[in-house]
Amino acid sequence: MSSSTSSSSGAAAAGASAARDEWKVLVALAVVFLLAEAGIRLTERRLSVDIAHIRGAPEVAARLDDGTRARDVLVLGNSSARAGIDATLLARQLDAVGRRSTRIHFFYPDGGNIGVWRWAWRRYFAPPVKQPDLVLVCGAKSHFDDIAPKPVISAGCFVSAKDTPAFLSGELHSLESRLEFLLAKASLSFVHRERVQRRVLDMLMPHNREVLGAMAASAALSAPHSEGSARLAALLADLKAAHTRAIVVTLPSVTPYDVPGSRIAVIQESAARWIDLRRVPGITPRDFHDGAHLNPDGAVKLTSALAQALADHD
Amino acid sequence: MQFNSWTFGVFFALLWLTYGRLRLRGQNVLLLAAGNVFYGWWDWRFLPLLWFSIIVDFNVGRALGSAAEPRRRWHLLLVSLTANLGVLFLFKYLKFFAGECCRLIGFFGEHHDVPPWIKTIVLPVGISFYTFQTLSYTIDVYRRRTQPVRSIFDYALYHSFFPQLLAGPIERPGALLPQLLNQRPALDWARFQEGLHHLITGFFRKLVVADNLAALVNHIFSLPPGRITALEALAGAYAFAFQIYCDFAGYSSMAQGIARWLGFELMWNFRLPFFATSPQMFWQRWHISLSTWLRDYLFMPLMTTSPLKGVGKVYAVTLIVQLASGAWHGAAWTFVAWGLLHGLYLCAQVWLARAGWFEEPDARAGWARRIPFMLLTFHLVCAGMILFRSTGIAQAEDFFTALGTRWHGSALASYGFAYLAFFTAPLVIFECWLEQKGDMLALLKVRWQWRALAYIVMALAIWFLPPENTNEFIYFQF
Repeated sequence: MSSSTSSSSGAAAAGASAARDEWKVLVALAVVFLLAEAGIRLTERRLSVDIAHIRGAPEVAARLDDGTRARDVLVLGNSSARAGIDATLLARQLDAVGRRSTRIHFFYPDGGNIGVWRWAWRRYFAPPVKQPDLVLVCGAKSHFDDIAPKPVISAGCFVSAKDTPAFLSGELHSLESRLEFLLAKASLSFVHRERVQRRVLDMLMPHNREVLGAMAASAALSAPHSEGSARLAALLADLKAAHTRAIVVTLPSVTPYDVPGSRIAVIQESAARWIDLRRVPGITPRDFHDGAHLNPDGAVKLTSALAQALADHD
Repeated sequence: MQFNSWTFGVFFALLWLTYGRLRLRGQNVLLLAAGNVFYGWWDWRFLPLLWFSIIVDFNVGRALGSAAEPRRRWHLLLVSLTANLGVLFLFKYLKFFAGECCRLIGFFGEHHDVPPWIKTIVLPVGISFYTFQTLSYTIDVYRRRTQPVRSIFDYALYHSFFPQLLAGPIERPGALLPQLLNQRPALDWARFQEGLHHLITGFFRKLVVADNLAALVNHIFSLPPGRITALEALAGAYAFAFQIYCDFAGYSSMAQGIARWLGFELMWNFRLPFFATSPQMFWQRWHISLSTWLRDYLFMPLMTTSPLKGVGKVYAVTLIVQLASGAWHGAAWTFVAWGLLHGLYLCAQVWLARAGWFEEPDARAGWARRIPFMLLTFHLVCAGMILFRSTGIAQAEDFFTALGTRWHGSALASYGFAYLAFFTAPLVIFECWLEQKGDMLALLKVRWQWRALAYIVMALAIWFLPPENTNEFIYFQF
């Protein structure tokens, strides 16, 4: 097989002439990438329910300030909170015991954890946005662990331009992650490329989600784990500075998990409260549709327990 | 710093902008500095090791240049061999040998633990590659095939030329030194075009094929023993064969592209190995820089010095060389077994050919005649890949047992084959076309519109089909 090195045959006149056309190839590549970027920007909300939810955060913030006298509760969480807390039921049960009617607002990006909740809160809900009466920070197992947020999704969805310097210096400690963050700030197609891939694979691969779930579960066993709570402390400090009441809620999981004593101390020192719903009477493994997410029956039980606990705290 | 990192992108952009404005001496100083930064980025503590090898071999080379007496020349070569292979043994094999010795002693009822300091030894990245490259220099000077380099800085650059420092191709002094010491051509459209081709195809192989297949391979090879089915094992073996090929060929291609843009020409390390029609042809197309190194510096000397006679000598030397190739890849019995298996394949091919039972199809033969041979060779290679990827002989045994007994479908198997087809089909089609053309750079000889289309498909796949995790190049661990 010929190696066709440019010093020999590649130097031929025809080859040299063809090489001069290479700028056209580069222009074609650039045009396609610009079109892809424009396409993603135009169709971003249709890419996934999760992105539509995240991009809807300013609308949630606007609803907090719509002049009604209702009691506003903002739930910061992820898919565990989305599956486990029934907003209508929670509002109804809180209405029954409170003096004001209650409105529940959610912000629950997929895969959200303490690494992104703080930055998301600062971007979408911190003053000058009118503050909710209560913020519930809801997570399970490792969601409160001090694990650095992912730079790409953080840049695209959670960190504001104002917070960028603080995020770059405080959260990202390698040049690579900082460069990824900056690129993600510039390009939405870079931010959403994993979602595009997931949609493509969902369409083409049999059992895609099922196998990906199994792969993620085996990868999770070797995932980094940290019992630190610096990010939780930072979020609670931000909430306190905004004079917003905060409650940390630990949600149930099929596999039992511990909450480190140091984390409980952080919550207490931040003048926040802790509602421990790791074990709710009546919730069994049959109330989960997978290892982490409750089914509708489980959600009713968890919501009732949460409403009861909130009433007790009031 | 990996080629497929943004950090390297910034590093190379800065280097390239400066490089073009310098004369030869300045370019070489810049490349030497870049090589040290590039290597030190991984772990600066291993830089002295790199320089130890540079200083030893530069001085051995100079001494060989002025030594005429054969005995003294042989002693000088021994200094280089001992120093380089000694360091390689210390960092790569000592832990394995100590562990095996302790096991052997334990077999006789005595209990010994590997000393803690041995357990903490870390393998310096790229050590096997730069050791072989530097040995090829001292051996070639010893054989008087290369003149010794006069300046240690020039030699250091030969030793630490960053595009191929960590994972090859293992260059020869006869090919690389003249390019380092003489004025290199300026970048023109033809060189830019060739470099771009190497980079895009390299990134496609690594990021789209290898890294995406890595998730499937890691999952299949982490299944509990006794649970894997034949189809899952088959999917795992095929996926790993493509993963390691695309990982390493991708790296080699990127190295070629980067070097091309700097005015260098590196050797081809892979030439469509899965289209080989025999084990022998496979080794002419797979990791060519290592297989030719072993041929020139191990096989040929053994053939000329071995006291054995006839075809028995060919078998014995082939097995020794393939065992050395296996051991070069890593300190584990699985690699030794992999090398032995390939040695047996090669011996079997020689034996069958001598007996008249095997006639390899000519390169010009049609696809219909070659495909059965290609498929057979590919499956022999995949059997070896199971050994190569397994964490131990027991896991490999479990895979082979599954292939012999547990033939039933599963969600993972159907997913695995669909996943494999999705990520490899475009590559296989592209490589079929290259094989048909008989030219690795055939894409540069078509109309620009076709090339643009191919690049757009590859670039969009690189951008929109990212792996969950970007993996290090597999060969960095060797």
